[in-house]
Amino acid sequence: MSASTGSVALSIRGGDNYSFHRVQLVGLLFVLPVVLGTLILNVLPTFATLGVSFTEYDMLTPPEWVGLGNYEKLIADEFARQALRNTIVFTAGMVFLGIPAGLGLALLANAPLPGIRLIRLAYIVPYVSSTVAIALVWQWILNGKLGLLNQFLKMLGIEGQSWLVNPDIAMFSVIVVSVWQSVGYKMLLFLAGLQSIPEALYEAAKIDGGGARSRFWHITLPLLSPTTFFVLIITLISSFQVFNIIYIFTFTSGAAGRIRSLDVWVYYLWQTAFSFNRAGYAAAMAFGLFVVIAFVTFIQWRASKLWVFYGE
Amino acid sequence: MAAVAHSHSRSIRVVKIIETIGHYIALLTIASMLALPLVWMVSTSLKPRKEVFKFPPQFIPQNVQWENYKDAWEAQPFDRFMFNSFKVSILSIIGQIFFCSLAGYGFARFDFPFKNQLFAMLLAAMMIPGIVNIVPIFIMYKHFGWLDNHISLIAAPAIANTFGTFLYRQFMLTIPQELVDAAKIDGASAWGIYWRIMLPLTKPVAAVLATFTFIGSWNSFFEPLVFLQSTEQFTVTIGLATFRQEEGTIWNLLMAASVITLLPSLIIFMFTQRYFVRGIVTTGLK
Repeated sequence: MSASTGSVALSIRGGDNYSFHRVQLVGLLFVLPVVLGTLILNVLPTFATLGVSFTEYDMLTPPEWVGLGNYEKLIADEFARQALRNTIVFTAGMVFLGIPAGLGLALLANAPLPGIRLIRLAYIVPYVSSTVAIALVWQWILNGKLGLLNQFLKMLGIEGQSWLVNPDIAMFSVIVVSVWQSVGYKMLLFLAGLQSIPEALYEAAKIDGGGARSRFWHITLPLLSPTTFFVLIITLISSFQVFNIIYIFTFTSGAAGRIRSLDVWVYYLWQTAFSFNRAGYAAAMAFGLFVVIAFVTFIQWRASKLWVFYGE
Repeated sequence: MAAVAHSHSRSIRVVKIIETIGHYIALLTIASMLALPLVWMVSTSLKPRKEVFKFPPQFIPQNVQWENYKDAWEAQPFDRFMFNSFKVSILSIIGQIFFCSLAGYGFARFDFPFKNQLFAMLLAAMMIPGIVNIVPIFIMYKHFGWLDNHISLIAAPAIANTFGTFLYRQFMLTIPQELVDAAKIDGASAWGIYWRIMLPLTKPVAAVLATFTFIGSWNSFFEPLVFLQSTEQFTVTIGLATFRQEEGTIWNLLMAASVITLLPSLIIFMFTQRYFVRGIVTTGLK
């Protein structure tokens, strides 16, 4: 940091702006590592993804230009379609079950009761736990033969299920486990939103004779919309990328092979790139994911202007 | 009249108490539902093999078998996995705090050409999920000789960390100018101001980032799965998945290995939960 070793006279005025040009460039030096790092490890690779997606490339022999060939194949690819469908189902589950669950839990936990902080912490424990470990214990609980859930059902005289093998319910099981894992995190976000709503509004509504339900619909929900919006965005973006739980749940399903009914977009991408060594095709999938995420972010951002209440 | 009012207020109090009890019951029911799988994990991890499949299921093992932990620990080189995970987490944290605080300082307190454009680029980069870049990054790391090396897991969180930079910038914008001016009168350089004022005053940001990064890095699975190849380089999550693949469904040992994997991040979480919650809340409100 020799550029700043006191050799430059610093003017002391309002603001932090040093008047010497040289010293201003010091600021550039400070941000340089992160700017370069982000450029090299984040921004440029996105362009590279697009570039690689126009090639056929096994990462050993030189890439071969195929133009839009990979995208054409992708549209016709039965596995890709299946993966897309599964990803959409998973995402829908996380939005329509996960978000209300988080909000419900936040409403329940938003009470000034003794010990409430400790209870809230307990709710976040699954979220800070490794998904691999979480997925393993759930695999054990949902085990078709001797899992805890089926044992319980047996005690109630109900026939058990192969929760993770039966293709009709496997994705539902994945959703339930993911909601279970992330509900505490969503609760925290909603709690912050709830606590930012001025108490005076509720008092006023009470004086006007509004019941608890009316207060929820007319005060809580509208004023909570920025939080709901934020939770929706991160739920969508993280759900599109679901991978870990799928990896564990589908691995070692016996010699019969993996259960394709659980394949999601990122799983298929990973498999394409690193099991089948088809980097170009995987890059096309990755760029597709990028476009969808960018699009959703944009649409939600535009839509939010219409319905999100940001105060005054 | 007074007696009526008295009994009325008493019945209100009774209703309140019943409501509170109901509230606690609801809260604790959900807490136990959320805790149940983890309790079952610990329970299974302590059972001898023949007790594992017993019907009806028992949460408290009849013969507690602590050797399961020793067996699980030895079935795969978990000491190595643990060391690797700690190494990756801690180096990511150190790198991130250093580079992000520097950049945050630059963006918050200086004027330089293209500042706004560069900051906008960082914000845009924050929207790009790492998975989108996995193919070119893999190819690049291969050329760098970074595959099967822990630097592949440390580089991005340490130096390409836009979120950390953003957090530092926001916080450093709020540091009073008088402090900086006073240091300048004492002849402090830009670096001196960073080192003696900015860094000490942004400890809360460091705490939030360190907590997030530790838990994120410890639990990370996708990147180590893609970048690491040899067992001695594996982090705990990959070690655990490998254990599952190689030893199959020996549930008691598998659950012991899962508990081993979970414990460090849960212990760190217990000590730092204040920062963790604060971090989530501030990012959620942005």
